[in-house]
Amino acid sequence: MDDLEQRLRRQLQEPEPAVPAAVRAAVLADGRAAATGFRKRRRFVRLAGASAAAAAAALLAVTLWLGHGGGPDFDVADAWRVASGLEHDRRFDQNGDGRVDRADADRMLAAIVALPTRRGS
Amino acid sequence: MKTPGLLSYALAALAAVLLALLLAARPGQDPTPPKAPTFATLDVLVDAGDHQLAAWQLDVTLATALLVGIEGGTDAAFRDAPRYDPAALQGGRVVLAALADAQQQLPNGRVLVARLHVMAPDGAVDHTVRGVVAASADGQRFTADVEVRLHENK
Repeated sequence: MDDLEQRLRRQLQEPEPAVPAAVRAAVLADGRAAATGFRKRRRFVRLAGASAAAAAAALLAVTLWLGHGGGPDFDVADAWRVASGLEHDRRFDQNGDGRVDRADADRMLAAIVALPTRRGS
Repeated sequence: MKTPGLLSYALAALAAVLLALLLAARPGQDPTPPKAPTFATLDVLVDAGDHQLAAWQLDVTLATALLVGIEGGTDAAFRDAPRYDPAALQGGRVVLAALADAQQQLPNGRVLVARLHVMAPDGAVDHTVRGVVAASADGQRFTADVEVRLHENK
């Protein structure tokens, strides 16, 4: 009888929690796992965003370089000298046959008139 | 058999309204007919002055007109069409370059080196020329003025 009375007193002083301890622990563990996953995904999204931005910047730089700086470093005056046999500089050996001649001048003209989108193709 | 529900009636009504809107928004007869495109030629003249013109190159950009053909000049040394990228046709920019026919006398003074045929959808043939290079018989570059004369084909 005394035990029962003491037990009842304890229960009145320390009421049973509304959510059982096991359920509470499971919910908290689930929440922690979800938060960890979210942090991982956030890091991944940030990394992917930074990579995409870097790739776009590199592509833009290459496009600008091809469009404005990708032209040949010779002009029609050089081509005329090559075609006329006045020029023998090996850097004008466009077809790599070891000679600097009219065939190279033709290739030089083709490179001079090539529109930027075709240069290097 | 299943009878059509309220959602079906609503979708049918929405489709009818959209159809009516589409029919109402369809453009009717335009009172002003579209402007006919203008065809024109641009004569490209290089002024070599006292130099003998052996080779030339330049870059032509059209504002709105489109290139439809390229011919050579009138002087015997530049009668063949200049070199150009075929991709420039139907576009608004072309780089031209030519070497003189070595069998011919090299010209000096003002030389008609090329004729460009263009189509201007809006009637305007505005253009800019840049990147001019001219070379004499010994392959030396010299400064040359370039003139572009417009001839509209009626």
